[in-house]
Amino acid sequence: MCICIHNRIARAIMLGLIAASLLMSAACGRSDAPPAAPIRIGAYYWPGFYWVDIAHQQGWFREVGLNVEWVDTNADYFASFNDFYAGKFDVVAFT
Amino acid sequence: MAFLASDYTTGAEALIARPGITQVRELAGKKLGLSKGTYLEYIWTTVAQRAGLKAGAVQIVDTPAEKAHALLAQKSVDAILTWEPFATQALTLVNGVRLFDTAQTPGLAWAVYAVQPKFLEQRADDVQALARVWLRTTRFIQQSPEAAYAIVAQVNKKSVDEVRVLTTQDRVLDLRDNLTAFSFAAGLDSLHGSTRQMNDFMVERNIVPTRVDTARLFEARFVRTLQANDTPP
Repeated sequence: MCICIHNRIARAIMLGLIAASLLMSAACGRSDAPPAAPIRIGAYYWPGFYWVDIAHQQGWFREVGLNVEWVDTNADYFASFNDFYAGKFDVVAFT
Repeated sequence: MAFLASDYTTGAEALIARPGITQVRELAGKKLGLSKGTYLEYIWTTVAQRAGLKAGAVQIVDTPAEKAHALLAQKSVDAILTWEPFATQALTLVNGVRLFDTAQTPGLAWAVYAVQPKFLEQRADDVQALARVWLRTTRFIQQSPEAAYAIVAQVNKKSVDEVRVLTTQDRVLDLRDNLTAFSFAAGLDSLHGSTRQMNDFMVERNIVPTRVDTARLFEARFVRTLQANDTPP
């Protein structure tokens, strides 16, 4: 009887430890650090700017720890300059 | 503050007129649709001067570059100055005439990536990381253009052909080009040289009051760090 109870307690502790370690590894898999501060970037359909679309789609910004907010400016490219001056973007392409 | 040069156009901006107009100087007394106060107006001023047109000889109608072709189609203007793919759309819509394009003036229209000065100050490592991603992606496009264009086509809801054609009128820059672009050379292959020429032009014509100090516009350290740490694949 006694052994049986001990076994149960031991099993519970064991399961608890496994669950905790799984949770920890899951958390580590997501990120080592709190989410990076966002970077708002203007995107536009243009050869010199293709790289932003591609890197965003491929997850290459995330790979280096950048939290890029991809913002479509295709409706009016020059309007994104004014938005930049107004502080609504961190990075835009200027022509 | 600019930290990366992306491209300069080699024919992507075009002056498209309605049928019947065959030369730039025939635009005297007519209406031209373009986005005022932008580099398109600078291109127009250059073109007008070459054609012997006086400032003010043509009435400028302010329009976003993305909507200029619609103005021409509605006959609200006689000509437009815009970039691709809108220039070719205009040409097709009105069976128009291509009077000029920037293939005649390579190096005139640069695009650079600019970052907020405060952001640059506080998050220089993130700016460097952005530059690293730019380099990786630029090399991917050079090495696997079709795969790259397929992604761009999907994101922008275009055909791969359209995405590819657009690249024929624009020179996308690599790391080597950027090192030249951020040098203090006087020619149009340097941002400093190109900006000084545009600025001189504008000061001479009283479009802007003063000369700019180009050293305050361009920050070379990010492309130089890319070069210093580069191990080409």
